Amino acid sequence: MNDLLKEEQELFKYESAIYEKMRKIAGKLNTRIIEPIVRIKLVDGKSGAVKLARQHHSHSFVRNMYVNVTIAPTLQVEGTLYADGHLRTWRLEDSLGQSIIQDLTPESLGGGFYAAVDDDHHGILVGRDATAESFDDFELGNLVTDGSGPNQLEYIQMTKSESWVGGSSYYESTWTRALDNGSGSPVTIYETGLFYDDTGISHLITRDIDAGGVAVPDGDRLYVEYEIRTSFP
Amino acid sequence: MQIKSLQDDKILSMLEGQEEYELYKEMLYLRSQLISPPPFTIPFFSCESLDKEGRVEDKREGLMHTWLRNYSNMFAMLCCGLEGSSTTFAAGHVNSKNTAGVVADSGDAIRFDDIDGAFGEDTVGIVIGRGAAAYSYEDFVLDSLIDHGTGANQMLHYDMFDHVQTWDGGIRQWTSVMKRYFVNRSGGAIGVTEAGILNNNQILMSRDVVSPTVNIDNDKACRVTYTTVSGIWPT
Repeated sequence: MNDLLKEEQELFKYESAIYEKMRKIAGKLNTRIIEPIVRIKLVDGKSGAVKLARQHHSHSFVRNMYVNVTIAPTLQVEGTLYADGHLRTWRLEDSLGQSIIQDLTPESLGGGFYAAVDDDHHGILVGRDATAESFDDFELGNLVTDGSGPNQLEYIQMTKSESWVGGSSYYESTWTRALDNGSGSPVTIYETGLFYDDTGISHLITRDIDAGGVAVPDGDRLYVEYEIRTSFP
Repeated sequence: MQIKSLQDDKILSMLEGQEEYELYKEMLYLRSQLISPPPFTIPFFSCESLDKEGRVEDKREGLMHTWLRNYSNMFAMLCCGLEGSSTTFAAGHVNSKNTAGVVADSGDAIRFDDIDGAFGEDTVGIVIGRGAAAYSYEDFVLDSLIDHGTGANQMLHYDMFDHVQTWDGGIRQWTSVMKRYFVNRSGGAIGVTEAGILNNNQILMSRDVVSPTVNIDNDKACRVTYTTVSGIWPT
Protein backbone atom coordinates (compact mmCIF):
# COMPACT_ATOMS: atom_id res chain seq x y z
CA MET A 1 0.00 0.00 0.00
CA ASN A 2 1.45 3.37 -0.94
CA ASP A 3 1.68 6.26 1.50
CA LEU A 4 -1.06 8.24 -0.21
CA LEU A 5 -3.54 5.40 0.04
CA LYS A 6 -2.62 4.77 3.65
CA GLU A 7 -3.11 8.43 4.45
CA GLU A 8 -6.51 8.38 2.74
CA GLN A 9 -7.59 5.37 4.77
CA GLU A 10 -6.50 6.96 8.02
CA LEU A 11 -8.39 10.12 7.15
CA PHE A 12 -11.48 8.04 6.38
CA LYS A 13 -11.31 6.35 9.78
CA TYR A 14 -10.76 9.67 11.52
CA GLU A 15 -13.68 11.38 9.78
CA SER A 16 -15.93 8.35 10.30
CA ALA A 17 -15.31 8.55 14.05
CA ILE A 18 -16.16 12.26 14.02
CA TYR A 19 -19.42 11.62 12.18
CA GLU A 20 -20.29 8.90 14.69
CA LYS A 21 -19.84 11.34 17.58
CA MET A 22 -21.76 14.06 15.76
CA ARG A 23 -24.72 11.73 15.22
CA LYS A 24 -24.97 11.09 18.96
CA ILE A 25 -24.93 14.79 19.76
CA ALA A 26 -27.25 15.67 16.88
CA GLY A 27 -30.02 13.54 18.35
CA LYS A 28 -29.97 15.61 21.54
CA LEU A 29 -29.92 18.86 19.58
CA ASN A 30 -32.79 17.73 17.36
CA THR A 31 -30.86 18.08 14.16
CA ARG A 32 -29.86 15.54 11.52
CA ILE A 33 -26.37 14.82 10.18
CA ILE A 34 -25.69 13.74 6.60
CA GLU A 35 -22.54 11.71 5.99
CA PRO A 36 -21.55 11.29 2.33
CA ILE A 37 -18.95 8.70 1.27
CA VAL A 38 -17.39 8.13 -2.16
CA ARG A 39 -15.89 4.83 -3.26
CA ILE A 40 -13.97 4.17 -6.43
CA LYS A 41 -13.04 0.73 -7.70
CA LEU A 42 -11.17 -0.18 -10.86
CA VAL A 43 -11.70 -3.70 -12.17
CA ASP A 44 -9.73 -5.52 -14.85
CA GLY A 45 -12.01 -6.10 -17.82
CA LYS A 46 -10.66 -9.58 -18.53
CA SER A 47 -9.88 -11.18 -15.19
CA GLY A 48 -12.30 -9.25 -12.99
CA ALA A 49 -9.47 -8.55 -10.58
CA VAL A 50 -9.74 -5.40 -8.50
CA LYS A 51 -6.86 -3.13 -9.47
CA LEU A 52 -7.73 -0.23 -7.21
CA ALA A 53 -10.22 0.33 -4.36
CA ARG A 54 -10.48 3.59 -2.53
CA GLN A 55 -12.95 5.34 -0.24
CA HIS A 56 -13.14 8.74 1.36
CA HIS A 57 -15.77 11.16 2.57
CA SER A 58 -17.25 13.39 -0.04
CA HIS A 59 -15.70 16.75 0.62
CA SER A 60 -17.85 19.06 -1.34
CA PHE A 61 -21.58 19.33 -0.82
CA VAL A 62 -22.37 22.26 -3.08
CA ARG A 63 -24.78 25.15 -2.51
CA ASN A 64 -27.68 23.07 -3.92
CA MET A 65 -27.45 20.66 -0.99
CA TYR A 66 -27.22 23.45 1.58
CA VAL A 67 -30.31 25.10 0.09
CA ASN A 68 -32.17 21.81 0.10
CA VAL A 69 -31.46 21.09 3.75
CA THR A 70 -32.30 24.64 4.81
CA ILE A 71 -35.68 24.82 3.09
CA ALA A 72 -36.74 21.19 3.55
CA PRO A 73 -39.21 21.77 6.42
CA THR A 74 -41.17 24.53 4.68
CA LEU A 75 -40.22 24.48 0.96
CA GLN A 76 -39.97 28.28 1.07
CA VAL A 77 -37.45 29.69 -1.40
CA GLU A 78 -35.90 33.16 -1.26
CA GLY A 79 -34.48 35.40 -3.97
CA THR A 80 -33.64 34.70 -7.58
CA LEU A 81 -29.96 33.75 -7.62
CA TYR A 82 -27.69 30.81 -6.88
CA ALA A 83 -25.67 32.96 -4.51
CA ASP A 84 -25.31 34.16 -0.93
CA GLY A 85 -28.48 35.70 0.44
CA HIS A 86 -30.72 33.60 -1.80
CA LEU A 87 -32.27 30.20 -1.21
CA ARG A 88 -32.58 28.87 -4.73
CA THR A 89 -31.18 25.79 -6.41
CA TRP A 90 -29.40 25.74 -9.75
CA ARG A 91 -29.93 23.23 -12.53
CA LEU A 92 -27.35 21.44 -14.62
CA GLU A 93 -29.06 23.10 -17.57
CA ASP A 94 -27.70 26.41 -16.22
CA SER A 95 -30.94 27.90 -15.01
CA LEU A 96 -32.64 28.73 -11.75
CA GLY A 97 -34.29 25.92 -9.80
CA GLN A 98 -37.89 26.48 -8.79
CA SER A 99 -37.95 25.04 -5.29
CA ILE A 100 -36.58 22.20 -3.25
CA ILE A 101 -34.93 19.37 -5.17
CA GLN A 102 -37.40 16.65 -4.30
CA ASP A 103 -38.45 14.16 -6.94
CA LEU A 104 -41.82 12.53 -6.38
CA THR A 105 -40.58 9.16 -7.62
CA PRO A 106 -36.86 9.15 -6.90
CA GLU A 107 -36.54 5.40 -7.33
CA SER A 108 -38.04 5.36 -10.81
CA LEU A 109 -35.48 5.13 -13.56
CA GLY A 110 -34.47 8.67 -14.45
CA GLY A 111 -35.66 10.12 -11.13
CA GLY A 112 -33.64 11.05 -8.05
CA PHE A 113 -30.14 9.56 -8.29
CA TYR A 114 -31.34 6.64 -10.43
CA ALA A 115 -29.92 6.96 -13.97
CA ALA A 116 -30.39 4.56 -16.89
CA VAL A 117 -27.80 2.99 -19.18
CA ASP A 118 -26.18 5.52 -21.56
CA ASP A 119 -27.51 8.41 -19.45
CA ASP A 120 -24.68 10.90 -18.96
CA HIS A 121 -26.95 13.62 -17.60
CA HIS A 122 -28.20 12.16 -14.30
CA GLY A 123 -27.04 10.18 -11.30
CA ILE A 124 -23.33 9.59 -10.85
CA LEU A 125 -21.23 11.25 -13.55
CA VAL A 126 -17.47 11.52 -14.01
CA GLY A 127 -15.20 14.09 -15.59
CA ARG A 128 -11.65 14.96 -16.58
CA ASP A 129 -11.25 18.39 -14.98
CA ALA A 130 -9.07 18.69 -11.86
CA THR A 131 -10.12 22.24 -10.96
CA ALA A 132 -10.70 22.44 -7.22
CA GLU A 133 -14.24 22.06 -5.89
CA SER A 134 -16.25 25.23 -5.40
CA PHE A 135 -19.26 25.73 -3.18
CA ASP A 136 -21.03 27.22 -6.21
CA ASP A 137 -20.39 24.32 -8.58
CA PHE A 138 -23.47 23.10 -10.44
CA GLU A 139 -21.79 20.95 -13.09
CA LEU A 140 -18.61 18.96 -13.67
CA GLY A 141 -15.71 20.85 -15.19
CA ASN A 142 -15.24 18.49 -18.12
CA LEU A 143 -17.89 15.80 -18.34
CA VAL A 144 -16.93 12.42 -19.77
CA THR A 145 -19.78 11.68 -22.14
CA ASP A 146 -21.30 8.30 -22.85
CA GLY A 147 -19.82 6.36 -25.74
CA SER A 148 -16.79 4.50 -27.01
CA GLY A 149 -15.00 7.36 -28.73
CA PRO A 150 -11.88 9.12 -27.47
CA ASN A 151 -12.20 10.15 -23.80
CA GLN A 152 -15.64 8.61 -23.53
CA LEU A 153 -16.90 5.89 -21.19
CA GLU A 154 -19.98 3.74 -21.43
CA TYR A 155 -22.40 4.57 -18.62
CA ILE A 156 -24.14 1.50 -17.19
CA GLN A 157 -27.50 1.65 -15.39
CA MET A 158 -27.13 2.54 -11.73
CA THR A 159 -27.91 0.22 -8.86
CA LYS A 160 -29.11 1.02 -5.36
CA SER A 161 -29.16 -0.57 -1.93
CA GLU A 162 -30.52 0.83 1.30
CA SER A 163 -30.37 -0.23 4.92
CA TRP A 164 -30.98 0.80 8.48
CA VAL A 165 -27.93 0.66 10.74
CA GLY A 166 -29.56 0.69 14.14
CA GLY A 167 -26.33 0.48 16.12
CA SER A 168 -25.16 3.77 14.69
CA SER A 169 -28.62 5.30 14.25
CA TYR A 170 -28.51 6.07 10.58
CA TYR A 171 -30.38 5.13 7.41
CA GLU A 172 -28.24 4.83 4.32
CA SER A 173 -28.58 4.49 0.60
CA THR A 174 -25.74 3.41 -1.65
CA TRP A 175 -25.85 4.32 -5.33
CA THR A 176 -23.37 2.68 -7.69
CA ARG A 177 -22.49 3.30 -11.29
CA ALA A 178 -20.28 1.20 -13.50
CA LEU A 179 -18.46 2.79 -16.45
CA ASP A 180 -16.76 0.73 -19.15
CA ASN A 181 -13.87 1.97 -21.20
CA GLY A 182 -14.26 0.84 -24.80
CA SER A 183 -12.56 3.89 -26.26
CA GLY A 184 -9.36 2.13 -27.26
CA SER A 185 -7.21 4.32 -24.99
CA PRO A 186 -6.93 5.04 -21.25
CA VAL A 187 -9.29 7.67 -19.87
CA THR A 188 -8.19 9.47 -16.71
CA ILE A 189 -10.89 10.58 -14.30
CA TYR A 190 -10.26 13.56 -12.01
CA GLU A 191 -13.76 14.42 -10.84
CA THR A 192 -16.95 12.64 -9.83
CA GLY A 193 -20.35 14.15 -9.16
CA LEU A 194 -23.69 13.07 -7.76
CA PHE A 195 -26.71 14.57 -9.51
CA TYR A 196 -30.31 14.45 -8.33
CA ASP A 197 -33.04 14.53 -10.95
CA ASP A 198 -36.22 16.37 -10.07
CA THR A 199 -38.90 15.87 -12.74
CA GLY A 200 -36.42 15.67 -15.58
CA ILE A 201 -34.09 18.38 -14.30
CA SER A 202 -30.65 17.39 -13.03
CA HIS A 203 -29.03 19.13 -10.04
CA LEU A 204 -25.48 18.68 -8.76
CA ILE A 205 -25.39 17.72 -5.07
CA THR A 206 -21.71 17.05 -4.54
CA ARG A 207 -18.57 17.23 -6.68
CA ASP A 208 -15.37 15.48 -5.67
CA ILE A 209 -11.91 15.95 -7.06
CA ASP A 210 -9.15 13.38 -7.17
CA ALA A 211 -6.13 15.50 -8.00
CA GLY A 212 -4.00 12.48 -8.86
CA GLY A 213 -6.60 11.08 -11.22
CA VAL A 214 -7.69 7.50 -11.78
CA ALA A 215 -6.55 6.12 -15.13
CA VAL A 216 -9.06 3.66 -16.58
CA PRO A 217 -7.29 1.46 -19.15
CA ASP A 218 -9.10 0.43 -22.30
CA GLY A 219 -11.26 -2.61 -21.59
CA ASP A 220 -11.49 -2.02 -17.86
CA ARG A 221 -14.48 -1.08 -15.74
CA LEU A 222 -14.66 1.75 -13.22
CA TYR A 223 -17.18 1.67 -10.36
CA VAL A 224 -18.13 4.92 -8.62
CA GLU A 225 -20.27 4.64 -5.52
CA TYR A 226 -21.89 7.25 -3.28
CA GLU A 227 -23.20 6.23 0.12
CA ILE A 228 -25.31 8.76 1.99
CA ARG A 229 -26.01 8.23 5.68
CA THR A 230 -28.68 10.29 7.43
CA SER A 231 -28.81 10.27 11.21
CA PHE A 232 -31.81 9.47 13.38
CA PRO A 233 -32.21 10.44 17.06
CA MET B 1 -14.41 25.04 1.34
CA GLN B 2 -13.95 27.19 4.44
CA ILE B 3 -16.10 27.75 7.50
CA LYS B 4 -15.93 31.05 9.35
CA SER B 5 -15.08 31.48 13.04
CA LEU B 6 -17.22 29.35 15.30
CA GLN B 7 -17.31 32.05 17.97
CA ASP B 8 -19.77 34.05 15.89
CA ASP B 9 -22.24 31.20 15.47
CA LYS B 10 -25.73 32.58 16.14
CA ILE B 11 -26.94 29.27 17.54
CA LEU B 12 -24.36 29.48 20.32
CA SER B 13 -25.82 32.75 21.55
CA MET B 14 -29.37 31.39 21.30
CA LEU B 15 -28.40 28.40 23.43
CA GLU B 16 -26.60 30.43 26.07
CA GLY B 17 -27.80 29.44 29.53
CA GLN B 18 -29.39 26.24 28.26
CA GLU B 19 -28.15 22.73 28.97
CA GLU B 20 -27.53 22.10 25.28
CA TYR B 21 -24.94 24.91 25.03
CA GLU B 22 -21.93 22.70 25.77
CA LEU B 23 -23.26 19.95 23.53
CA TYR B 24 -23.55 22.34 20.64
CA LYS B 25 -20.04 23.65 21.26
CA GLU B 26 -18.80 20.09 21.08
CA MET B 27 -20.64 19.53 17.83
CA LEU B 28 -19.13 22.70 16.39
CA TYR B 29 -15.68 21.51 17.34
CA LEU B 30 -16.29 18.13 15.72
CA ARG B 31 -17.70 19.78 12.61
CA SER B 32 -14.59 21.94 12.36
CA GLN B 33 -12.47 18.78 12.20
CA LEU B 34 -14.11 17.67 8.96
CA ILE B 35 -12.66 18.73 5.63
CA SER B 36 -16.13 19.56 4.36
CA PRO B 37 -18.77 19.97 7.08
CA PRO B 38 -22.30 18.87 6.20
CA PRO B 39 -25.27 21.25 6.26
CA PHE B 40 -27.68 21.19 9.19
CA THR B 41 -30.26 23.34 10.96
CA ILE B 42 -31.19 23.75 14.63
CA PRO B 43 -34.87 24.46 15.49
CA PHE B 44 -36.19 26.61 18.35
CA PHE B 45 -39.72 26.99 19.68
CA SER B 46 -41.71 29.48 21.73
CA CYS B 47 -45.30 29.72 22.91
CA GLU B 48 -46.51 33.02 24.37
CA SER B 49 -49.69 34.51 25.74
CA LEU B 50 -50.33 38.12 24.69
CA ASP B 51 -52.62 40.74 26.16
CA LYS B 52 -54.88 42.94 24.03
CA GLU B 53 -52.02 45.34 23.33
CA GLY B 54 -49.75 42.54 22.17
CA ARG B 55 -47.59 42.54 25.30
CA VAL B 56 -46.17 39.20 26.36
CA GLU B 57 -47.73 37.95 29.59
CA ASP B 58 -46.28 34.45 29.70
CA LYS B 59 -43.77 32.54 27.63
CA ARG B 60 -42.19 29.11 27.12
CA GLU B 61 -39.17 28.96 24.86
CA GLY B 62 -36.06 27.01 24.07
CA LEU B 63 -34.59 24.43 21.79
CA MET B 64 -37.25 22.46 19.95
CA HIS B 65 -36.65 18.80 20.80
CA THR B 66 -39.43 17.35 18.85
CA TRP B 67 -38.96 16.65 15.18
CA LEU B 68 -40.99 13.48 14.90
CA ARG B 69 -40.31 10.23 13.08
CA ASN B 70 -42.23 11.70 10.15
CA TYR B 71 -39.67 14.47 9.77
CA SER B 72 -36.67 12.17 10.27
CA ASN B 73 -37.99 9.77 7.66
CA MET B 74 -38.76 12.41 5.06
CA PHE B 75 -35.40 14.06 5.60
CA ALA B 76 -33.64 10.73 5.09
CA MET B 77 -35.69 10.04 1.97
CA LEU B 78 -34.80 13.45 0.61
CA CYS B 79 -31.06 13.16 1.24
CA CYS B 80 -30.74 9.50 0.28
CA GLY B 81 -32.94 9.70 -2.84
CA LEU B 82 -35.45 7.15 -1.57
CA GLU B 83 -39.16 6.43 -1.71
CA GLY B 84 -41.10 4.82 1.12
CA SER B 85 -39.56 1.50 2.08
CA SER B 86 -42.60 -0.19 3.66
CA THR B 87 -45.86 0.50 5.48
CA THR B 88 -44.28 -0.16 8.86
CA PHE B 89 -43.95 3.11 10.74
CA ALA B 90 -41.01 2.21 12.98
CA ALA B 91 -37.22 2.18 13.20
CA GLY B 92 -35.60 0.68 10.14
CA HIS B 93 -38.21 1.94 7.69
CA VAL B 94 -38.64 5.26 5.92
CA ASN B 95 -42.11 6.58 5.07
CA SER B 96 -44.62 9.03 6.51
CA LYS B 97 -47.87 8.77 8.46
CA ASN B 98 -50.61 11.35 8.00
CA THR B 99 -53.01 12.63 10.61
CA ALA B 100 -55.56 9.99 9.60
CA GLY B 101 -53.03 7.34 10.59
CA VAL B 102 -52.39 6.22 7.02
CA VAL B 103 -48.77 5.25 6.32
CA ALA B 104 -47.60 5.97 2.80
CA ASP B 105 -47.34 2.77 0.79
CA SER B 106 -44.03 1.30 -0.15
CA GLY B 107 -42.80 3.18 -3.20
CA ASP B 108 -44.65 6.32 -2.22
CA ALA B 109 -43.07 9.74 -2.55
CA ILE B 110 -41.48 12.03 -0.03
CA ARG B 111 -44.21 14.21 1.43
CA PHE B 112 -42.46 17.44 2.35
CA ASP B 113 -44.81 20.23 1.37
CA ASP B 114 -45.68 23.86 1.98
CA ILE B 115 -46.93 24.97 5.38
CA ASP B 116 -49.59 27.49 4.50
CA GLY B 117 -52.16 27.76 7.29
CA ALA B 118 -54.64 30.37 6.04
CA PHE B 119 -57.13 32.06 8.36
CA GLY B 120 -59.59 29.51 9.69
CA GLU B 121 -57.53 26.47 8.78
CA ASP B 122 -56.92 24.33 11.84
CA THR B 123 -55.56 21.28 10.06
CA VAL B 124 -52.53 22.82 8.38
CA GLY B 125 -49.71 25.09 9.48
CA ILE B 126 -48.79 25.71 13.09
CA VAL B 127 -51.46 24.08 15.24
CA ILE B 128 -52.08 24.01 18.99
CA GLY B 129 -53.82 21.69 21.39
CA ARG B 130 -55.05 20.99 24.91
CA GLY B 131 -53.93 17.37 25.25
CA ALA B 132 -52.04 16.00 28.22
CA ALA B 133 -50.20 13.18 26.48
CA ALA B 134 -46.43 13.12 26.89
CA TYR B 135 -44.31 13.64 23.80
CA SER B 136 -43.57 10.57 21.75
CA TYR B 137 -41.25 10.39 18.74
CA GLU B 138 -43.98 8.32 17.05
CA ASP B 139 -46.68 11.01 17.36
CA PHE B 140 -48.57 11.82 14.17
CA VAL B 141 -51.42 13.93 15.58
CA LEU B 142 -51.81 16.37 18.45
CA ASP B 143 -53.38 14.76 21.48
CA SER B 144 -56.33 17.19 21.50
CA LEU B 145 -56.37 19.73 18.68
CA ILE B 146 -57.87 23.17 19.40
CA ASP B 147 -60.34 23.82 16.60
CA HIS B 148 -60.85 27.12 14.82
CA GLY B 149 -63.87 29.02 16.11
CA THR B 150 -65.38 30.95 18.95
CA GLY B 151 -67.10 28.09 20.76
CA ALA B 152 -65.98 26.47 23.96
CA ASN B 153 -62.28 25.53 23.84
CA GLN B 154 -61.93 26.94 20.34
CA MET B 155 -59.63 29.72 19.16
CA LEU B 156 -59.46 31.76 15.98
CA HIS B 157 -56.57 30.57 13.79
CA TYR B 158 -54.96 33.44 11.93
CA ASP B 159 -53.12 33.39 8.63
CA MET B 160 -49.46 32.36 8.84
CA PHE B 161 -48.39 35.51 7.00
CA ASP B 162 -45.31 36.06 9.04
CA HIS B 163 -42.84 33.55 7.58
CA VAL B 164 -39.50 35.32 7.21
CA GLN B 165 -36.11 33.98 6.13
CA THR B 166 -33.06 36.18 6.61
CA TRP B 167 -29.44 35.76 5.60
CA ASP B 168 -26.66 37.10 7.78
CA GLY B 169 -23.80 37.50 5.33
CA GLY B 170 -21.28 38.30 8.05
CA ILE B 171 -21.76 35.03 9.89
CA ARG B 172 -23.10 33.17 6.84
CA GLN B 173 -26.19 31.77 8.52
CA TRP B 174 -29.87 31.57 7.59
CA THR B 175 -32.64 32.19 10.10
CA SER B 176 -36.16 31.11 9.27
CA VAL B 177 -39.08 32.27 11.42
CA MET B 178 -42.63 30.91 11.24
CA LYS B 179 -45.32 32.40 13.44
CA ARG B 180 -49.01 31.99 13.97
CA TYR B 181 -51.46 33.88 16.13
CA PHE B 182 -54.48 32.34 17.82
CA VAL B 183 -57.12 34.55 19.44
CA ASN B 184 -59.40 33.36 22.18
CA ARG B 185 -63.01 34.57 21.75
CA SER B 186 -64.53 31.51 23.37
CA GLY B 187 -65.73 33.31 26.48
CA GLY B 188 -63.46 31.34 28.81
CA ALA B 189 -59.79 30.65 29.44
CA ILE B 190 -58.04 27.96 27.38
CA GLY B 191 -54.86 26.21 28.44
CA VAL B 192 -52.42 25.51 25.60
CA THR B 193 -50.39 22.40 26.36
CA GLU B 194 -49.07 21.33 22.94
CA ALA B 195 -48.16 22.73 19.54
CA GLY B 196 -47.02 21.28 16.25
CA ILE B 197 -46.27 21.85 12.58
CA LEU B 198 -48.62 20.25 10.07
CA ASN B 199 -47.70 20.52 6.41
CA ASN B 200 -50.13 20.67 3.48
CA ASN B 201 -49.87 16.91 3.06
CA GLN B 202 -51.36 16.45 6.51
CA ILE B 203 -48.07 15.26 7.92
CA LEU B 204 -47.35 16.30 11.50
CA MET B 205 -43.61 16.99 11.56
CA SER B 206 -43.17 18.21 15.14
CA ARG B 207 -45.06 18.13 18.42
CA ASP B 208 -43.97 20.24 21.35
CA VAL B 209 -45.39 19.77 24.81
CA VAL B 210 -45.94 23.20 26.40
CA SER B 211 -45.12 22.88 30.07
CA PRO B 212 -46.18 24.45 32.30
CA THR B 213 -49.41 25.21 30.45
CA VAL B 214 -49.72 28.63 28.80
CA ASN B 215 -53.17 29.95 29.70
CA ILE B 216 -54.94 32.19 27.22
CA ASP B 217 -57.73 34.22 28.78
CA ASN B 218 -60.77 35.25 26.81
CA ASP B 219 -60.04 38.10 24.35
CA LYS B 220 -56.32 37.43 24.55
CA ALA B 221 -53.97 35.80 22.04
CA CYS B 222 -51.47 33.01 21.77
CA ARG B 223 -48.40 33.36 19.54
CA VAL B 224 -46.43 30.26 18.56
CA THR B 225 -43.06 30.74 16.86
CA TYR B 226 -40.72 28.26 15.24
CA THR B 227 -37.23 29.56 14.47
CA THR B 228 -34.77 27.48 12.50
CA VAL B 229 -31.14 28.53 12.26
CA SER B 230 -28.69 26.95 9.85
CA GLY B 231 -25.17 25.96 10.73
CA ILE B 232 -22.59 28.34 9.27
CA TRP B 233 -22.40 27.96 5.50
CA PRO B 234 -19.05 27.47 3.78
CA THR B 235 -17.52 29.98 1.42
